[in-house]
Amino acid sequence: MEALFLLIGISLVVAIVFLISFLWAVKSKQYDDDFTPSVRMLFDSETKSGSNDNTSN
Amino acid sequence: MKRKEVREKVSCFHCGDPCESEHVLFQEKDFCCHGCRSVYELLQACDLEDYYDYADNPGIKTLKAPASDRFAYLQDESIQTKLLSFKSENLAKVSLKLPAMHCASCIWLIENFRKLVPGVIESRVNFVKREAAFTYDPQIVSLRRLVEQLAAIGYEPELNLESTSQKKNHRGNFKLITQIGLAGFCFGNIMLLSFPEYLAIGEELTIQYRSFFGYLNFALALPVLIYSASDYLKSAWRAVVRRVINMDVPISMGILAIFLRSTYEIFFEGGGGYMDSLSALVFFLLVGKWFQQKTYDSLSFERDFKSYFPISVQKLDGEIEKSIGIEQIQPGDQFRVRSGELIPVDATLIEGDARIDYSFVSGESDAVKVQGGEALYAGGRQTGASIVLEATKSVDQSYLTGLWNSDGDQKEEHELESFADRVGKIFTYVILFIALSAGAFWMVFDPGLVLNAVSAVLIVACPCALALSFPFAYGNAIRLAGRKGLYLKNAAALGRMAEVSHIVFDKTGTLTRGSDSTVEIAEFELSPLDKAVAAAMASQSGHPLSRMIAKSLNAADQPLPEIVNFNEVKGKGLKAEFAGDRYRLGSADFSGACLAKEHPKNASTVCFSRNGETVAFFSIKKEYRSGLNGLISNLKKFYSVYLLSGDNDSEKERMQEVFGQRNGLLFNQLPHQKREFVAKLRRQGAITAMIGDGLNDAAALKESDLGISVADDVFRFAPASDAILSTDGFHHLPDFFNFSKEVLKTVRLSFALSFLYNGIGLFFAVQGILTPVIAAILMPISSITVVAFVTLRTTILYRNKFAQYSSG
Repeated sequence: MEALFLLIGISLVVAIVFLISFLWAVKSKQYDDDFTPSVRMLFDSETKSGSNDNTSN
Repeated sequence: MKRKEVREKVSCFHCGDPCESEHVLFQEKDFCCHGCRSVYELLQACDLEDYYDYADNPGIKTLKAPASDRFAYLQDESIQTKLLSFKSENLAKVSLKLPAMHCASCIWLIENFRKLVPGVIESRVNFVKREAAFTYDPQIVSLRRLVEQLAAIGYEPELNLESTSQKKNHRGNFKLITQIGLAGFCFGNIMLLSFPEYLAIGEELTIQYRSFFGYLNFALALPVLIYSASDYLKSAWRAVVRRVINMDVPISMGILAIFLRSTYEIFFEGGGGYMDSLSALVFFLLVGKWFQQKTYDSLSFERDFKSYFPISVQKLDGEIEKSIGIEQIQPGDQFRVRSGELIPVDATLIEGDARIDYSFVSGESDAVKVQGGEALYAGGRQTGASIVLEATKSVDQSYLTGLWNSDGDQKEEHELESFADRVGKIFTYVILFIALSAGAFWMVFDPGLVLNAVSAVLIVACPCALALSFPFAYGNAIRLAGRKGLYLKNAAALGRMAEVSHIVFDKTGTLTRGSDSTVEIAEFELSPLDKAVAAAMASQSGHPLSRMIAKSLNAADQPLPEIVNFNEVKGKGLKAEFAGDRYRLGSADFSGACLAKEHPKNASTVCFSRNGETVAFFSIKKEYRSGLNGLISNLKKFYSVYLLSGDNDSEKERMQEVFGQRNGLLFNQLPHQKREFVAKLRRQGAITAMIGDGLNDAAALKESDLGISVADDVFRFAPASDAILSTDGFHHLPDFFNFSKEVLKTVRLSFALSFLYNGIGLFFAVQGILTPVIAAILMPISSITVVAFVTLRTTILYRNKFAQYSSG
């Protein structure tokens, strides 16, 4: 049963890692704009391929 | 502006507008004007055609090319320092507001701005705020060039005095999200560690484990109490110190009661405590707060005169012209105001032909001609050529600014006590009474249960559900109202809306459609050349009627003939010559016999004559918003309505007809008179809503209990107010008022519901048999049902109220 102490300790540490990463995400303003990134990821990369017209509409 | 005929349905490849007067074909694509074509050409040259792939006709119609030195002030070092967020020798950062952004293509183009302007290193869009952050190399490209280039492709940044004042503080939101995150984290973990208690296997665990879980719970609950709940505790403390009771007082009483009792149990009785209920309570409360707060980031409700004023003026120092920030203007300074610019301070006219449009300040739309040496007031817009002024006051002391600042924090004092706080007060007294009675009862019969019963009462009575019903009902209602065009600043505004008894309207721009009038042209023998001459004449005058005619003739989009001997006769009309012919545009007796077939009611008529012979006449009709009569009579059933107009009383009869009353319709009202009127109503105890637009209503909007400003484009100008009403939603106005009342009723019903749960909880509590399991079940269930109830009811109400109009 002593393993329980260890396991709970580990689970708490893992949870705290996630809490810290959440706080980091908030701090780095990832929640400020929840629209632009969703559009940005759909943009084609740098070079324009002339025949590629699928992106319209 | 309605055009009578549309030749063919071809829309511009760039901006999507119908191609009419100036159809341009370029590379087999249709463009509505040369402005759009040149933007297309520019983008094509920079390999940025992808712009047209992300949305259909994404472009913005570029208006007349701005004066070349329009952004000259951006070269000024002191102005740059105010705008830039960072500057080194070869790196500078600036954040600009681009209200014209509206689609994915806009984002793409702005983020690829570096291809268009060499020297721009990176640009990043925040679409929600309509902002873009630019990083550029000041050695290669200047701020002025960057802004000019943005304006050239249609995304003119919003630059005004406000953008140079300190950046807004965004820490508030960051703090709230952190608080939620922390509370959520602790809530989850405490619940896991409390499972043995829930399943009643706590008794079988060795004391070693029980106290271990207990200490962990305590450790996890500490940050919740200290950080996440700190705002509630502080607010309650402040209220107690001021000897008032708000909603936060019973909440804090509950929080502290749970914490102290649980701590006692954990450390002295080896029990589990109610830390799970504590963190759940705080977590839900914060989520509710967030839901209510997260409204309209991109809208600004706090605009003051600063957002209307330019950043700088051209100061004249002997022969040298220099840009200085307008707050640096001292009385005695001479400066230049160009056509179309706003006069930033009270001043006297030194030189030039001043025709000042004070519609911003007074609502009166006719431009005023001012003689040299006469006084000019801040807020007027010069419509003639450029003029030289001498400042008589500094910006802070000018009439307009004074009007703005005069009532300072008066509003704070007679702020309505919100419904929630009133309930909170009664609630607190009742709970204290029950707790004390239960304590007294057990004191007599079983003193060992006193503490248990008293703390249990405080825990169970904590108005969690009560506190949640507000943010969810109001937050949801605000969001729903936003869908129909009413953007409320916060929940308090919606709460006051439900209690309004008097509604005051402004006329120009609110009941009428501002500049949007219909111009009908009755032609006798109007040749295309005559038409162009009329357009040229009208576009040289600042008179509102001229401007409407110029707009209806598309004067801005076409090359105009060079007219000579142009002369404006005040109150009469315009004279000019072209190719030997004398033209006049103006009133009937001024421009020769004008034989209007019939004089339309409520319309101004302007005649156009060539060599004394009438060739056309324009009838200009101020257009009232559709369904105005029905709207007003609808409102009159429940409210006292008034009209305050800055205009003269030429439309008095029409307004009497619309309002169906003779009293309470006031004309020729100056801004401070409007404010006085609202203040007087309020002194009589009326809860007053003011509905207006423009700077001339700003003082009255601020004075009223609920200021609603009407705006065509809600992302652009709207004076400081509690709500912004899009003109598309104007016809819903009675529905909005009605909706707000129903929302308040929903909250009342939800209170009844949460009292029911509190009653059940109290039943256990006073007997001293409240176990953690009952608390852990009762609290979330009551919260969830209350939240579900208010959210559903407001949504259903919204559907019922607005559904029948959904088509338009």
